[in-house]
Amino acid sequence: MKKITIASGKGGVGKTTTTATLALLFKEAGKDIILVDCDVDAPNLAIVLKCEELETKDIFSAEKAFLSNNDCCIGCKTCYEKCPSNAIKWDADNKHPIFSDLFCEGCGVCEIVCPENCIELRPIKTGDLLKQHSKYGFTVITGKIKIGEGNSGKIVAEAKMWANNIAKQESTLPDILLSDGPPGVGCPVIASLTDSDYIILLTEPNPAAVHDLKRVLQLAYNFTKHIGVIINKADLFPESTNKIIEFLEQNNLFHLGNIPLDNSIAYAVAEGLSVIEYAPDSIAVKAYRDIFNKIQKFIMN
Amino acid sequence: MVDERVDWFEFFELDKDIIGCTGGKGGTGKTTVAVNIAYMLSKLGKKVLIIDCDVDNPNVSILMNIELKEIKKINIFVPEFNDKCISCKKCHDVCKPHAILHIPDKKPLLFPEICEGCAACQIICPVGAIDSGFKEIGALLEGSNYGIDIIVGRLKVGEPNSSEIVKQEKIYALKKIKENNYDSIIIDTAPGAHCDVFYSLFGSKIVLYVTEPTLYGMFDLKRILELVKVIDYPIKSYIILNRSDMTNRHDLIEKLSEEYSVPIIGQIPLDKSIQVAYAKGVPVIEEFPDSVGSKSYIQIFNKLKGELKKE
Ligand code: SF4
Ligand code: SF4
Repeated sequence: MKKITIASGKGGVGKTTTTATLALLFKEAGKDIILVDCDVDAPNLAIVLKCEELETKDIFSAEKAFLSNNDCCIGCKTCYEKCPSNAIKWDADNKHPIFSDLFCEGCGVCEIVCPENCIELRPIKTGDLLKQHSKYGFTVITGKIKIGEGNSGKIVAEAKMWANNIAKQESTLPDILLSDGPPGVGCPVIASLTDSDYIILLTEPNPAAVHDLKRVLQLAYNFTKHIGVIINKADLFPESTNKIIEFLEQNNLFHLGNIPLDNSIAYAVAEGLSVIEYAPDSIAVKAYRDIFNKIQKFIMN
Repeated sequence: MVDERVDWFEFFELDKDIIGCTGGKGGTGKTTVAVNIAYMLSKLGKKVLIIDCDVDNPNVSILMNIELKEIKKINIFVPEFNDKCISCKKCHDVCKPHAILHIPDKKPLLFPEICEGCAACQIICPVGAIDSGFKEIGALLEGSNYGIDIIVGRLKVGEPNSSEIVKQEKIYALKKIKENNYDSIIIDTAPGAHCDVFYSLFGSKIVLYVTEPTLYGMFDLKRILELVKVIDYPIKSYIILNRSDMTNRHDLIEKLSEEYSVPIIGQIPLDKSIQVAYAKGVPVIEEFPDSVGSKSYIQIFNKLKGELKKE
């Protein structure tokens, strides 16, 4: 099973559309695939792949502090003073701490410093894992973080682990495990790139997207040397596109191809359809097909 | 332990226009909106500060062609084990992210990339065997252009603790706001609806949700609307429908606008001049004042002006 992860650094440059399109092209080429949506803060892959939910799991990847009971507290204020996240408000009338769910990072410092042992940390639900079946005939695993939570890296890791286990249980191992990564360069991106055989990065011909591409490259290099780049909306600024291509050559990165500006992508996304189904003859789909052929070669090598 | 702790509620006490730019989905134009609103405020004669809180990918400086200078590194505590260690394993047991490896009869081993800097280990150690070390997780930077000052938080690639950068950035911003008497503060957030976005927006009196008329735009907008609902402080919220003629599915966003009682303050059509200005690092209103894009920005701004403090 080859593991491919799609990432970009910058958000909104077409990761989800690309993942969905490549998934359908792999399917069309007769490959057996499994997908993971690692963009746990904006998991949209299942929408466009028309998924039906099969199974869900709760994730408890964090803990929060609670006062075990108010009577125990002697009002010494130590917890309030020591919390590194300033997550404790002081209730001066009742002389006891009030823990803020939102700001608590679950570090456990208050639990340690309380002289009366009044504080306990309890696991809290931080997200869901969903196992879904796409009408196009493959499994999609989606990680979904609870709104306002941090630590999305753990949810990404859980989602990938589940997908790997499901893949192993199948009678024949799927050919491809394709992951749609989150934006950024932090912990969740590391979790999504971990264990990838191939990384496909998306960018656009503008300075912000290129800046973010370079940042995510610093991470990608740690996982594999097989890195391919797709330039989206390439014809918007052909000169900048050429500069990106030059950069790719200088850095031994594989230029997988360009996707032109094409409104059919937007219309497809608006309707929640894949662009292949919505506009099979569009220039975008043609570009994706060329890119797909290159990806297949890229993976064979 | 961190350099300083934030007093989150101090932000609400600031008598300033504080405008958060967010949206949920990535790439919807948050930063472009932040920069252009800042530019128009500055043209009105206001003293404006932009806080770029998208610490994974801070792009405000690129869009304004600003050369940044670093003002400080952001360090967090990491334990340094000294020879007093009796190998009691207590530090290992309290470390929530499991950054400490216990080796029997030896000093523990730290995985610095996992450590989140809470210092619980130092507090629990019965023999004072843990000294305070530090590791760099990012930096704060500053710059200015068009009479607008910006503060940028930048996460070191691959570090886990991005929210610490946002917190330190806001502490620094608070100080700077008090010293410099800014009239208007614009906060640009990361995409998503996670805790960094929450910390970033905290203190905003007006929140602008920049979105686009697609299903993804709608789903991600819903998440961020839910997040802001949690902030227990009166906030005026408005949706900006960017790339409005990209599709005709305005109904998707209009439905949410009604459901959450957050009005759509204006639309920005697709306009090549916006993209050209973006790529050049100039606000579109400066570069192409008569373009369709600029006009729609000005319209939005005129509506927003009614909500700002009067001089
Ligand atoms: S667990 Fe840590 S962050 Fe949470 S309240 Fe206690 S000391 Fe503060
Ligand atoms: S440290 Fe314990 S006893 Fe002291 S105020 Fe906090 S909860 Fe109460």
